[in-house]
Amino acid sequence: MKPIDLQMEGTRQGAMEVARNRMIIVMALFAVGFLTLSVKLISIGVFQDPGGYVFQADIPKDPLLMARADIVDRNGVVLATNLKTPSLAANPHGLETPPEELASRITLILPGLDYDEILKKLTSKRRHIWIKRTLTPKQMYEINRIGDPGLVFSDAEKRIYPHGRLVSHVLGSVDIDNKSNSGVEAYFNERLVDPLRSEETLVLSIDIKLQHILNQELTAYMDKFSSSGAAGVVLDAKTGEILALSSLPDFDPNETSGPQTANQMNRVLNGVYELGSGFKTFTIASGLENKVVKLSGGYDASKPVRVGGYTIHDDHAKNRWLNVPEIFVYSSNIGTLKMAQDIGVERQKEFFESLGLFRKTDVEVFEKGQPLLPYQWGPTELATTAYGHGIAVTPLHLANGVAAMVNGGRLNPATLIRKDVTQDGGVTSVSLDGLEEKQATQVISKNTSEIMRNLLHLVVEYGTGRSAKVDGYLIGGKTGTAIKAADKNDGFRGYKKSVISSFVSTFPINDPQYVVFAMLDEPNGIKETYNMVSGGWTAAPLVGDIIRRIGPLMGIEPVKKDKIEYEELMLVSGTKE
Amino acid sequence: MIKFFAALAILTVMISMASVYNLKQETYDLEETKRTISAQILKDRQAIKVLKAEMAYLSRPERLERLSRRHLVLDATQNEQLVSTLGELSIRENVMVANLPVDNFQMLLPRQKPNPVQIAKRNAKIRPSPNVRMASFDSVENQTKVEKINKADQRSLYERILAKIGN
Repeated sequence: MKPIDLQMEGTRQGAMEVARNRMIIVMALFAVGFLTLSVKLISIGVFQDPGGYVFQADIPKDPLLMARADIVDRNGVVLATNLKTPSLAANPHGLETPPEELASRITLILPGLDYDEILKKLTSKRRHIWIKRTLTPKQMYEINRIGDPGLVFSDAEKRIYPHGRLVSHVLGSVDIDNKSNSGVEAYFNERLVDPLRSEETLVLSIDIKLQHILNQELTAYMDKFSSSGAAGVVLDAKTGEILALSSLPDFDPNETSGPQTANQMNRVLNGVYELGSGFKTFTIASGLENKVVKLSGGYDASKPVRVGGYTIHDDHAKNRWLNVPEIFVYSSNIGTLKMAQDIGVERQKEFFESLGLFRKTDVEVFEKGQPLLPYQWGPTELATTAYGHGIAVTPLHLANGVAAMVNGGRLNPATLIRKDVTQDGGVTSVSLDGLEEKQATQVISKNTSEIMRNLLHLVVEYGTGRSAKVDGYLIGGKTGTAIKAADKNDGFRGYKKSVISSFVSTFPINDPQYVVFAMLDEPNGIKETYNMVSGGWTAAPLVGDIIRRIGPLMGIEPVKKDKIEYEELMLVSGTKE
Repeated sequence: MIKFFAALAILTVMISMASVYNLKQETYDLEETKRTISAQILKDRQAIKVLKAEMAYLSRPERLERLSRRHLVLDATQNEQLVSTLGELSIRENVMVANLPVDNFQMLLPRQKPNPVQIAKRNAKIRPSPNVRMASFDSVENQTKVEKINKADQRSLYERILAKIGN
């Protein structure tokens, strides 16, 4: 920059000189400043990489963090969810309204509370005191309208079960601090509280519609026979998925806190019972599979048998020689135990073990019943287990075993999680909530399974299960009436007078889709059933009513009745009733 | 000249500074908007969660059943209302069914009308042998009509419908 050309005289010249020097300094500073700016601008404009465009969609969403993930049914209906619920607390030192007035206004908004109690809380010496947990949004709005700075809200989460009691035994419940107590909630606790999977729902195999039907029919029949309890389960015969599971009496998971009550006992998964004649399905399948008897072969059931000091009778005694279909259809204890004696202890045990009757089921809850087995396998035990006494298993064991008997002989471990079938390049893979499914095992041949289907159908057409008939559907099933074993409180050993009546059924019999099991605990005879309490009188019509409702709902088409297999074996004996 | 350049430089610098400042401010504003929107989205998702729970509560099977009983004249489906094939719906024998090419939707075909040619033949008078000559009262008009019917489309109704829908 060209220096400013000023010529002055004398002392003035000196002053000008100073001013000029100062100005040069100032200008130099400015120049440096502008230079820096230009360099910076150029570097931003030319050298700095703009970094590409960032689209909103690429930015990861803020996770909606909840303390527990949701649980939904197989069609996505919410069964359990966590909602933010405000809780009301007070700081008595920060109140601006008189406590009396405040207390009365709060009682108007929150009707469940007591005026004196609130007043006591509002006048206490503490700095923070809870007034009420879990307010509705409307109540929160009303409280906010009071506008007192001493009233404070804090967010808490509450587990909500919109269906209340309906799915209680499957879901289990959580306590006030969202800690799980039982059911699926407890089994999948780690996965449900995992913050990374907070938004992934846990999809159960339950179908809420079937669950409702099962629950409603069980309630109706439990009342009808004034029984102490009832339980039922609907299984997908081909995959082992539990579509509905109900145990009565039940509980409301929204209101549980504190210790477990008797109502929380799950009769299907946890209760072990001697289930009676349903077991004949297994014995006969074992007999046919091991080829100890032909279908047209049979045993003499003309008189009671003495085994190990006990005399064993038939409940529907025919007092003559019976062939295999007749033994099954008339539910002959004598015929079945004679067959079991031919099968022998080793093969009988082996077969029961392959059906998983000697261990807990694989279902996804912690509270699973351990089967009660005979201490030793002598001739008596062989005989009684043949018709379902002296061995106690959960109803799910029986239902799952029967599913294997009718679906072509494959035992699929029962599950409460929906099986997701994905096809990737021709490879079909099945996953349970991201985990590998447990492998199914072949327990009987396809041929034997076919015979068992027809035998079960005969029971409903001609035998003890006739009251389960539904027009238009071909149903197969087996009744069971078991005398209850005495427990500790009864003060005696052996068997009581009360019974457990059950019916295990499958339909449609030409291609079994569903296995329906229902049982009534200690039913009482009524006039309509001539005071009978056996499975054929109580549980069979119950299962019939369930099938009548779930069949059309699941789109099972009615089938025209054609030839009933092995009917001729029944008619030869001339005992068609 | 030098003054002009200096002024231009200063102007450029000022404009650049203003635009950089402006850009920065805009970015701030956008960030702010983004934050509000994110917060709103989170709030909405929370609300959706509540609504889903409410939806599940309001569509409890037990409640729907109660409401349906009160307000609708519908009853639960019975199994005889379901049919597997269209043929079962008809009480006729030998039903013809055609699949529409678009979506394989099944269509029940109408029964074939009685064949006019056959009827005409059946109703025709027994013709005498050509050797015998008989006086005919049939008008020329009537004779041509019978011929026309004979020439009419010999294909069955079923075939004609199939040809029309193209399979």
